[in-house]
Formats: sequence, structure tokens, C-alpha cells
Amino acid sequence: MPEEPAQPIASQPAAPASVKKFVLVAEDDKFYGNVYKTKLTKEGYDVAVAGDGVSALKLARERKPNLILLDLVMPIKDGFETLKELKADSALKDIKVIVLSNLGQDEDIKKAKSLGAVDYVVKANVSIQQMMDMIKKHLG
Amino acid sequence: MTTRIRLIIISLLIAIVPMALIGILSFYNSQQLVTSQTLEKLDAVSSAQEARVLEVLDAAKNRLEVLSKNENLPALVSLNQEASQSAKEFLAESKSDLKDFNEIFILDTNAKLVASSNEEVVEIDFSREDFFNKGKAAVNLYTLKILDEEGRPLLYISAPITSNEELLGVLVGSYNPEVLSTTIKLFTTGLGDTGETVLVAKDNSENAVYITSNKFDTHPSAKRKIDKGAVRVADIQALFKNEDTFTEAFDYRGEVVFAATRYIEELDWGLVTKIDRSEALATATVLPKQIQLVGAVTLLLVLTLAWGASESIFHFMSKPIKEALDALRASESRLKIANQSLFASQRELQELNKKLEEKVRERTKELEATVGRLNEAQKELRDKYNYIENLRVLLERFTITIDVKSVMETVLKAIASLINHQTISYVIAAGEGLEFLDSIYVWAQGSVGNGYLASINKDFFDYVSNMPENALNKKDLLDQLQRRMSFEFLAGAKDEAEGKTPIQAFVAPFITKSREESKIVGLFHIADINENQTYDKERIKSINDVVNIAAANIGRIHALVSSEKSKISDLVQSMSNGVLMFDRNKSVIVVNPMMKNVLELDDGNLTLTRFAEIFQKASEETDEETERINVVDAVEMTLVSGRTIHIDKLAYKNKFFEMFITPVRDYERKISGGAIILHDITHMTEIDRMKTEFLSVAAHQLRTPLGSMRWNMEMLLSGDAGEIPEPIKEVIQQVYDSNQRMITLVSDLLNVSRIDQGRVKDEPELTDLVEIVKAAITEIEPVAKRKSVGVDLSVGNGSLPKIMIDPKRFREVIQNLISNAVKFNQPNGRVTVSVDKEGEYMKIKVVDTGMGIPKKNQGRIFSKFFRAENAVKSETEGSGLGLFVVKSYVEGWGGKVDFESEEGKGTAFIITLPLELKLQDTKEQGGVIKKEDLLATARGNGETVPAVLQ
Repeated sequence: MPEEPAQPIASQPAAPASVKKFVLVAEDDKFYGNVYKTKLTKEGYDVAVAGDGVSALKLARERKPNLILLDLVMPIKDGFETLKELKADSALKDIKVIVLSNLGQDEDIKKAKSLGAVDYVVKANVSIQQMMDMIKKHLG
Repeated sequence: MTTRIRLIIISLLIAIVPMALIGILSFYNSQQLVTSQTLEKLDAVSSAQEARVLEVLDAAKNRLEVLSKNENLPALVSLNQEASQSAKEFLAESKSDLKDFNEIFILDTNAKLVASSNEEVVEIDFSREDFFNKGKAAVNLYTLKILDEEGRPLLYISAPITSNEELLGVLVGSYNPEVLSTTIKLFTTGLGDTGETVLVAKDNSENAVYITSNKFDTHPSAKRKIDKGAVRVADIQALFKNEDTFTEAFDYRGEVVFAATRYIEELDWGLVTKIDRSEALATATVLPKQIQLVGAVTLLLVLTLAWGASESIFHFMSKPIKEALDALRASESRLKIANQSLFASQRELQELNKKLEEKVRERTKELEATVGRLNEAQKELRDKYNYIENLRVLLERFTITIDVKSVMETVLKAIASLINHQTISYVIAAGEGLEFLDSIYVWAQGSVGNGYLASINKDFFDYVSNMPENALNKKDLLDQLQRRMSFEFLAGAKDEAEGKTPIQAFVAPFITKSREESKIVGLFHIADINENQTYDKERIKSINDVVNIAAANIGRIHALVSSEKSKISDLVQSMSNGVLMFDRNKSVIVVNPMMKNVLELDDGNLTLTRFAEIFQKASEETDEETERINVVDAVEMTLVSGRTIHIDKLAYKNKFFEMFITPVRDYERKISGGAIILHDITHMTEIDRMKTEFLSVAAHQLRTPLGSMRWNMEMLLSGDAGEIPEPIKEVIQQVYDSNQRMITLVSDLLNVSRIDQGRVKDEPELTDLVEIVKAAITEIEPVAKRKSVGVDLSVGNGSLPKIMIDPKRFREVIQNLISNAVKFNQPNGRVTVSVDKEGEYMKIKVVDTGMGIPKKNQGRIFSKFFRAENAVKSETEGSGLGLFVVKSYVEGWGGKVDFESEEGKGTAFIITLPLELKLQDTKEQGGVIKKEDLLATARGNGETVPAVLQ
């Protein structure tokens, strides 16, 4: 039997500032961006949100994040292209990338995973809690 | 009267009276025998001739029918000048393939001439012509028309031109009757100098006319009409009496002939096979001469002896008489034996011939059915697998070979009764190089030395050399034989191994009539090596007859087979799919124009290796996700396993194809080769891509706001945005629930459309079903709590095996069932989920204590968008898609979904899944294997797996 319901959820205690891990979010939708920012900050992570693929890549090169949350449908450079470039860059290729998108076709999932994404989440189909659990799992 | 004179008179009476009686009887008997023998032979020949005529015309009719169904034709039936010009070119080109037609033309539905293969196009009203009116309805037989000024008869064959079952016009071919003449003339087995077959038909004014030119008559055939009153003329009998008879009658020259007449009902024609009576009875007239001679000698002896007689006169007298009588009897009985065995072999051959004809007819019928099915399938391509299956069956006809041996065995039996069968051999030489095939050497138990073959070759050479200068393909045959005689091993080689040479040899040709020409395709040799055996005339004649009948039969079978092959060839050539056929040695036999077109090949030089390279290279160059295949290995696989290999998607020059590699079997069901079929799916791929993209984008656009609302409300509810008063929280919770339903609906719709498109792709992994059920229960728990419904899990005893299944999809299935069970339960109700193994199956049960499904709705609960009446009332929201998805997935895996329900008491859903699931991947097809199956089979057999697919 489950110890905890999936939703609604309760907040977790913040992590100490000294070991703050940096999570880069590539997301063009402001509502989603805000949720990520609020929630992740509350969980004690350092968060930056980039609104398109190009600025996400720029931020990634500058700040070497511990984890990247990547949307697929974005202006200027979409998520697939961004992922391809991340994985082609020897300095960035080891950073874990979780794709969080509302595209959910098998073809998209397969493509993202073949490009090197560690996980694929259809945003609308998970609760914030489930999403946070997954992020925590990948950050170790 | 002296005693001596009395004695003489008595001896004369004793000697002459019985002899005269015997003489008369013998003469009468032998004439009877020869007559009945001749008539029987005539019957056999005329029956074969009738079949040949029908077969030649059938073949012509079939070819015209194939042409009339050509997909390009409907567009050409137009009086528009441009179309009519292309129509003319089309017809001229088609005619060059159909050489036995004089002209091919198209009439529109008003009987106006649209175009003709020949130059002059004249304004003639065809609306009353039989060939127009009958041809509108169906493929029509032969309408005879006599062109008076030329004196030539014309045969018309017509077929409707249709498009989507609408009649557009009529395709008409005017058939050259001289082809029939040639066919008939080629077959004059054992009918001597005066034997021939003539064809008679009624002209427009009901007079009988000859269709073909006759042996002793050089007039244009139609100029010679037959007087209807001449009842003794065999030709008239055949035509107007509408019956088959044997007769002694007059022929067109006024000669007395033996004739077998036949009335060919399908054509309203008469067919007469005849031989001059004088020639037929020539053998019988030899006998009276023998009797006269023996009589004269005996008479002389009797007289001489009687005159100088003593007491022992009877003793001297009786001996020569006895000898003479014995000689007579012996000659008579030998003639009888020879004739009997000839009759027997003729009958057997007729029987065999009939059987083979039936076989070929059956095949032709099957073929027609296959062509019909193929046309249907090609029109719509709705079911490409049936199409491929039919095509494969069709291609198999290419490899039909006929069992010549069964004919040969009969022949040998017949000949063995005529000569000492311990010492005979037969050899058939056929094919391009006149190779020695199908040989049997009764005395050699295996192969023979080169000396023997050299003398057979010499016999063949002599035979062909003696043919008339312009006879058929004499020149080619001579070249072949000459070339072979110059080979070292044949040049006068001594046959040391056997030391045998044929003493008595018979040679006969196999003649086939293809649509281009008649030609000798093989030679047949029967030989006896027994030097002590001398052959008398009758015996030689009998053997000759048997050999000729056999040769004619084999030739005929070859002709039937090749005409069938040419029909198939027409079809393959005009197919809209690329076809490449290869034999057992992986050599390419046929590449149809469409295949050349696809590959953009200028020359016909295509090997499988080159073909493989083309696709190998193309798959390396393309960005698209396509399959990679080593064609040569796949072909090998097909030849070994005998199964069809299907490759979904291959790219070549901006186009996409699916490829089938399918085996082709011979008449003994052995794999004799195979075919590669390329089907252009570029258009389908494009549509598919657009559909996927549309669905993907639509789902994305719907989910984005829904997901955003979900997360934001979750934050509100969890207090992340500050504390909210309880009443407002409740409102938010309600909005949240509705939003959740919308999200589920979007996912369900997406699933359903994927199921409908057959695009469900499994990604199976070794999965613990219990784990997934647990997770699903955890997820539903909050909802269940709110409804005060308890959810229990019961797991069977012992450890349950993990199974290969797509965990995501199984989770969807179980989520749907549990969420229904909770949703439609009553307060304080229960849901019990159980997982257990039963034999080779996993059973998952979801039992609830809910409202149940009304009886009248039970038949429809798995239908898309269907919701039971009571469900609609209690839960207004719901898509009616959940159970449809459950059933589609479970049945796709090879499992089943059952349920029991009683209204007001509850429902139990039971899923039964086999431990070894079926792969759910597009549509499973019987008879066609996917690459995964193929590899599995190969492994199962302990064979190495070739790198067919990387």
C-alpha cells in the first residue's frame, strides 16, 4: 500500500545553500516556467529558466548545470536540435537531460531517447509531485 | 472316270475350296481391320485438331482480354484528336506484341471508330456488327465475316473496355485465320500423303466456306463455297448436321475419302479430318496379291502332284498347303497384334492427353480467377497482403513444367509391346542448345557413352537435313546440331564403355506454336540396339505412329504451357508494381518495366548483387528512418525457409517502398526461385506523416493549457502560493478534477486514433505485472478515499513469472479498469484486484461492488464512445473510450477480456494474457512474416542468423 498519495502534495524541506545544485530549465511557456522556478527553488535548488534553445545552450555552456529540464516545442531552436547540440558538445554531453513536453507520440519519445534524454515526461500526465520525485532521483 | 481323275478332282476340291474361302475371308477381314483402324486414327487426330484450334483461339481471346483490361486504355477511348492519336500509338504498339492479329481497333459506345492499329481509319457504321454488340457485354468469341473482294475470311474477337464498371467502348481484334491453317497443317500425324484437316464455317448468307486454305486447293479459301445439297460431302456433314461422325464420303475434289467429322459448337464450325480411301486401303490390297500368289503356286503344285500321283499323294500335297495357310495366318495375326497395340497406345495417349488437358484447363481457370482477384486488389490495394499472395501464386505459373515422363512411360509401354523392350532407349533433346534431356536407356542402367550420343546426334542431323528447305526453324536446328557434332567428344567418338549403336531409330519433332511463330523445340529419338532384330513394314509403321502421336502430345503440352506463360508474362510486364524474378541460383530472370522505371535502369543488366547495392547505398544516404536490408541475404533466406519476407519501408531517390521477397514454387512445390516486389508507398508515407504530425500538434496544443492549469492548481491546493480558505480550496478541487478528465480524454483520443490507424507499437520489456497493478492502485487511492471505496490487491500463491509486455500500455489497461471500478462503485463499496497464473496464462481480475452494467447494454460496452445508461446518469463526465482501449490492447497481445455483471450488484472484468504475448505491431498478417519472426525461426532451427537486417 502506498505511503503517500500522488496528489495533492506536501512541500519538502529546503536543501542547505552550500550544496545547492543547479537545474537549467528550457521552457518557453511562462506558466510552466513559473511553476518550475517556484517549486524547484522551494526544494532548495538553484534554477534558471531559458525561453528558447539558443539561450538554453548559452546558459548551459556558461554555468554547467547538474540537470537540464528540456521542453521540445520552443522558438528559435527546438528541443530536439538543442538536445542534439548538447550531446555533441564534449563539455556538456554528460549532463543529464530530462525531456518535459506535451508532445507524447511514440515517435517523439523514441527520438528524444535515441538522442540521449534520460527520461521523457508528458507534462500534463504527471503531477508536480511525480515530476519532483523524478528530478530528485536523477540528481541523486 | 479313273481313280486318278477322281483323286485329282477330290484333291483339287480339298485344296482350293477352303483356300478360296480363307482368301476371301482374309481379304474381307483385313479390309475391315484397316478401315476401322483408319477411322479410329482419324478420330484421334480430329479430336486433337479441334482442341488445338480452340486452344489457339482461346489464347488469342485471353491476350485480347488482358489488353482490354490495361489500365491505360480507358483514358484513350475518346474522339478527341489528341487522345485518338495516343490511342493509335498504343494500339500499334500492342499489335506488335499480338502478331496473330491483323488489326486492333477501338470503338466507342456509339460504334464509332476511335482508333485503329492500322493506317487507314474509315467512317464505317459498326453498330450492327456482331462483334460490337456482343463485345459490349463480355469478351466475345469469334464472329466470322467474309470480305468478298479479297475472298478472305476474317475472325473478330472483341472485349468490352470498362472503367469502374462503366462501359466506355469495345476493343476489337481482327484475327488472322492463316494462323489456324498453319496450326492445323503442322499436325498431320500418320495420315499419309492425302490426309489433311479442313475447317468449314457458314458465311453471312449461310453458305459453307473454307476458313483455311486446303492442301489440294490453292484458291483463296472463301472463294470455294460448298453446295448445300451435296449431302455426301464430308464438310457439309460436319457443318450442317451438327454431329460428330465417321464416314465414307466425297471431299471437295470429288475423291472418295474416309473422314472423321466434328461439329464445333462454340464456333458453329465444322472440322473434318480425312484421308483418301485408296491410300488408306493400300496396305489391305497387298494381302489379296499374297493370297493370289500362294493360290497359284498351290494350284500348280496340286495339279503337278496329282497328275503324277501315287498312293502317297495326300502326304505330299498336304505339306505345302499347310505351310501356305500357316504363313497366311501368321501374317494376319501379326497384323492384328500390331494394330491392337497401336489402338491400345492410341487410347492410352488420348486418355493421358485428356487428363493433361483437364489439368491445364483447371490451371487456366485458376489463373483467370487469380487474375480477377489481382485486378480487384490492384484497383484498390485495400489488402496488400492478399495482393501479394495472389501475385505470388501467379508468378508460380511461370515455373510450370510438365511431366513429360508420364507421357514417355506410356509411349515406352506401347513400343515395348511392339519390339523387344530390353534393348530400347529414348532420348529427348530440347531447349536452347538442344541438350539431351529425359533420357532412358533400358539396357544401360544409367548414362551411356559418347559414341551412342554421337549416333543419336547424327540421326537428328539426318532427320532435320531431310526436312524441306524452308521448314520452320530448320536452319537454327541444323546450326545447333552441326555445332555439337564438331565437339571433340562427339566427333566420331568410339563408344568404348558400351559399344552400342542404335540399329533401328525413330525421330520425331516437338512442334510448339507460340504467338510469334511455330517452331521445333525439341527432338525425340527412340532406338533399338538389337542387331538381330529385324523390323517389318507394319511394325515400323506402328512404331512411327506411336512416336508421332507422342511427339504431337508433348508438343501440344509445351504449347499450352508456353501460351499460359505468355499470358502471365503480359500481366507481369504491365503491372504497376516493380517485379524482379530470380531463379534458384539467384540469377535474375525477369525485370518488369516498372522495376526498371523505379531503379532508372537503362540496360536490362541487373543482378541481385547490383540490386542489393542500390538499396544499401540508398539507405545509407537517407535521413529518414527506414529499414536497412541486405537483399542478397534476404533472398537466400527466402530460398531456404520458403517464407515471404516483408520490409516495411525502404528509401530510394526521394521515394519510399515496401518490399516483399517471396518464394516461387514449381509444380512439385519445390522452391524454384522467387520474386522481389516493390510497392511504392511514397504517397501513403506522406499521408501517414501528415496524420502523425497533426495528431501530435493537436495533442500538444490541448495539453499545454491543461497541464499548466493542473500544475498551478496543484500548487494552490498544496499551499505553495499561500494558504487558501477551505471553501475556495473545494472549488479549486472541483475544477482540478474536471481538468484531469480533460487530460485523460486527450490521451484516450490519441490512443484511439493510433489504434484505428494500426500504429500501436509495443515496446515490451520483462515486466512484473503485480508491481504495475500496485502502482495503479496507489494512484487511484485518493479518489477512492474520497468516494469511500476500499481497493484490495490479492496476489496468487507462489512467485508469479515476469512477462514480456509493454509496461506503459499494460498500466493504461489496468488503470482504466480500476478507475471504472472505483468510479461506478457505491459508498463503502469494495474493489478487489487479483493477479494469478493459470496454466500458460496470467489472469487479472478487477471485481467491484458497483452499479453493474444493464443487460441490454452489455453487448456494446467495448464500442468506441459508448457509455452505459446508468453510467451516464451517475458520472456525467467520461469519454466512453476506456474499455475500447483495454480490449484493443489486450486482444492485440493475443489475450482476451471477459466480464460478468449484474445490475445493482457489481461487475467483474477478467483479463487473460498468454505468458508469451503476440507482438503488437501495425497489423499482424497470416502468411507474411516480420523480420522478428524470421530471426526467431532461424535461431529455433539452430541455423546461423544471416545479417539480413541490421
